[in-house]
Amino acid sequence: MTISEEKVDDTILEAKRHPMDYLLRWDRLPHVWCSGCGLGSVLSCFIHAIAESGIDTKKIVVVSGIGCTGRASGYLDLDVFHTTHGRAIPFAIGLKLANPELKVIVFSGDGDLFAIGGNHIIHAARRNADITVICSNNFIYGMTGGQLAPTTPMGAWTSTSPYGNVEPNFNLCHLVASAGAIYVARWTSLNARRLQASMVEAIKKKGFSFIEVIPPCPTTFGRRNDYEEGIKMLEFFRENTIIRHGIDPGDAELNLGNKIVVGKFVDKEDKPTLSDHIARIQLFAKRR
Amino acid sequence: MLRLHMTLRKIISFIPPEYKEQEKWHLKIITDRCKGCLFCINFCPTELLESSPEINSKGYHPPKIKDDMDMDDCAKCGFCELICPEFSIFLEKEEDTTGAKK
Repeated sequence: MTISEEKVDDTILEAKRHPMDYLLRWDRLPHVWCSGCGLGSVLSCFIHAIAESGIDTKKIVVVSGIGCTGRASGYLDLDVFHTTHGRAIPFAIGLKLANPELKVIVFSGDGDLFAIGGNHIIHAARRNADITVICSNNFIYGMTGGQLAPTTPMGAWTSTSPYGNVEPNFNLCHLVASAGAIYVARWTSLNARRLQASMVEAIKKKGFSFIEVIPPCPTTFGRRNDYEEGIKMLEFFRENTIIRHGIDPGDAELNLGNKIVVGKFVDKEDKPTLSDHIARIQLFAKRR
Repeated sequence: MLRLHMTLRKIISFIPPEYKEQEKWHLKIITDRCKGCLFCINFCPTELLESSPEINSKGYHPPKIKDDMDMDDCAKCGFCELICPEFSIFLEKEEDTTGAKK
């Protein structure tokens, strides 16, 4: 009576191509990231955001550094640039200054952007360079085997801190906001819809916009900290995430015992960017 | 829960076809990309999916729709597509080839 009267779809159909494959180098898939890693979700949100923003894909450049997240540029069928360790931001600023029409997006990890490239990001934020930075913070140096990173929370166990971390960690959003970024947001990879909307907003913003994403890392961080599966860490995010828009990012510390505070912290309008200053000075120099 | 579900389905089956949703949606999967991370299964709002007993070419169990459910139970939110780290599962609207009523 109920089910068999009309033909219903009760199976998942097998397909050959994904609808977003036009933005991906699908011949390179499956990617290198572990089962349960959240970086694929972040990349998925990113390509959905690019599709939603409606920007011409010929004008988008994605720059990435070294690390697990740095591999993302190899899977995107856009103009991509896989740069040296920590130097993604200088390359991105150079691209933007050479061709101001481009939309330059830096997609890299916390170790690349804040450990070896720490100076570059604060000075890019100070200059208000017209780039978007998407930083995935998995609390650890993932690719090299789980060493202690500047973002590792206090008390976390890593391969180089076998009795727990004794150093306080960076609050990335607070650092970037203090240096002068005009858009600062933090999301976990489970807030996929909000993350996608935030990425669209950040990409369309004129000036230095920064998004911190927290994906699960089951293999190197989770294994030593009781989150040995990605799904377990996502369940933790689901129960312990609170959304606070517009608060001072200094209050949004990432500690092991506390709740994870996410949201859009800073959203400023109309601050002159580095490209504006350069264009003005070029005009001045030509007139003389 | 199951009984409530079956009752709801009975009520739905009495609705004349012209008032039903005309658009048909399909869940599709590229099986060999799946790495069995269970994200789509755990975070589906209607709990439509479960692990399949079969394995793919890499030895992981891809998702499948539960035996007592079908695509009418799908919320069509597309969250599985967004959160899938492997670009494996996705939701697609069926192309209108039969010239169905509008």
